[in-house]
Amino acid sequence: MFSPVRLRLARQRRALTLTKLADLSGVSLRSLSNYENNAIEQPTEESLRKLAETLGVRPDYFYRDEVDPVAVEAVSFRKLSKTSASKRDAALASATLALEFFGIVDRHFRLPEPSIPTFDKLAPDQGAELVRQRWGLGDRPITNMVHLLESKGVRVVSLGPHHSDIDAFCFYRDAVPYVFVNTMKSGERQRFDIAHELGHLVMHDERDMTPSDSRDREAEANAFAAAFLMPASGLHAQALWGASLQKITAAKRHWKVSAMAMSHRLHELGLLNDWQYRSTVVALSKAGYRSSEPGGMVPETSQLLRKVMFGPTGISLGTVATELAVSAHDLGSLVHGLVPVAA
Amino acid sequence: MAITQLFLPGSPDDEARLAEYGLSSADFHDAFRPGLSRAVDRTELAPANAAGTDLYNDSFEFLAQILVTRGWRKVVTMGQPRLVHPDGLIQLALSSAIDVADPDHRVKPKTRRKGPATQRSLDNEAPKGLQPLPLPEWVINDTLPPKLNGAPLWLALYERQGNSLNLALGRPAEMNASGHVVAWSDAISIARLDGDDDFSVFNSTDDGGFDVPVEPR
Repeated sequence: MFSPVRLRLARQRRALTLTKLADLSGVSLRSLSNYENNAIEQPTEESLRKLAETLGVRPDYFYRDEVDPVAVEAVSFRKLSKTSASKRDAALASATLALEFFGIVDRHFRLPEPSIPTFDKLAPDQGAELVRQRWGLGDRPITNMVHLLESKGVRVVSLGPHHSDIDAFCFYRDAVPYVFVNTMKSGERQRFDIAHELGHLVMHDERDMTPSDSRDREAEANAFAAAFLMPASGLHAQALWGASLQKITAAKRHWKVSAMAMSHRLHELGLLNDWQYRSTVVALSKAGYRSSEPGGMVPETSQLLRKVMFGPTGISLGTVATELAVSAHDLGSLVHGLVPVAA
Repeated sequence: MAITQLFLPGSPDDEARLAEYGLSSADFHDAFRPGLSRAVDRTELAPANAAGTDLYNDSFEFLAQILVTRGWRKVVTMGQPRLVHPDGLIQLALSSAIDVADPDHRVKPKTRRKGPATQRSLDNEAPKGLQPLPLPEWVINDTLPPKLNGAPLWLALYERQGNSLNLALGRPAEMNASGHVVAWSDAISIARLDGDDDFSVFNSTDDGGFDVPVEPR
């Protein structure tokens, strides 16, 4: 049975409108509209071939089992207002493909069980402290955020190189948490994004995301991320009052966060006064820290995907792509920056 | 017997002497750093003695946390918290003082006013009854094995100067009539804790990674 949902997903993954797909594929707009809207009209073999070719899938992709797309309400998008609908839908369609990818991985491997605590009644800094306590992290830097979350049952996925204007997002599907991260950013900013998404998972659980309280949720997740990556007790113990630029850069390397995030946190904790904070930000901006992270860390990679793909009984992207009837290139986007893949 | 010119600038010998007790300057820096940080952060709205209390309370607690993992014990002797070496080689109490690192080596540290617990533990041969403070009955709140009871008392001396701390260990020998320890029978210098230029806290190595268990089905 032809799946209208799969046609829409494949189109959205390419960020194409129906009109654009009609232009590229040579299939009429009216037919495409009928196909997607579950009309009686079924694509001809010729149309299927054209659509598959344009969308980078095999024709049998459209006849695979039905799939439940990731809904926008289930997802916590950062900077949602700055993301166009087509880009947002493309990211969500990729997320749905990731669900299918992990469905196959889960068939072959026993992965860590999800164990993300829920603290939806606490202030962000309290929640962050309790998560640290529960996971036995003390008040020391977290060596690797990707590995930490993977060990707690989170599936960490890349947004791929085509979604550079989206920072990260997360959602639960069948009680399994998924975090999508922009691997084109600096290692420090990726860590903050991942901690931000962890904040959503801990504080906002499986609640639907409504635009009305989006701003509050994002502020809470940011506060959680700052407190989780840079615990107050740890910073207070490091004599960082009125810290010089040299000390801030030493501290940011130690805690593996961006210099801007470190400065903001020190200001938040009262270790930098208003004047010191402003002059620090100005100096950091001049040194290029606002848009990048000079001398930054090597971005973190996925331990789970490495074991799944390159372990003794590893499964290749090509094998999974064949089963899903999609291109290995599309799957490669999901692991981009998290494991080495062929260009 | 009190000896002059004990509190000389830190040297490798001092670290070696600290090591004999299983201690190092870094231990004291780790213990004093949080309290120093809090003390420096205090505003004028805080009570006058808040910064001093931060330093004493936080530093004792952190020092205890560091040392109990090595077998040291916390005891309270006549109200004075102390840390006792596992083999009874030394017991430590904390005391703020002035002139802890005076460049003129003839100037010896002088503690704040101390009580009978310190007086009872002075390292001198004078009859205790001649001491300036009335000596109440000797009370040890904790029951210690005999070998720990005789551990000589040393004071971990600290003197805040802005964002930094001068530090030293001194074995008290004499108190004046006001209860200040003014003479010492032995001393070990501890490297100064410089809050502004201290980058050592960022030198720690990673604690290791997180294992992500993945098994074939």
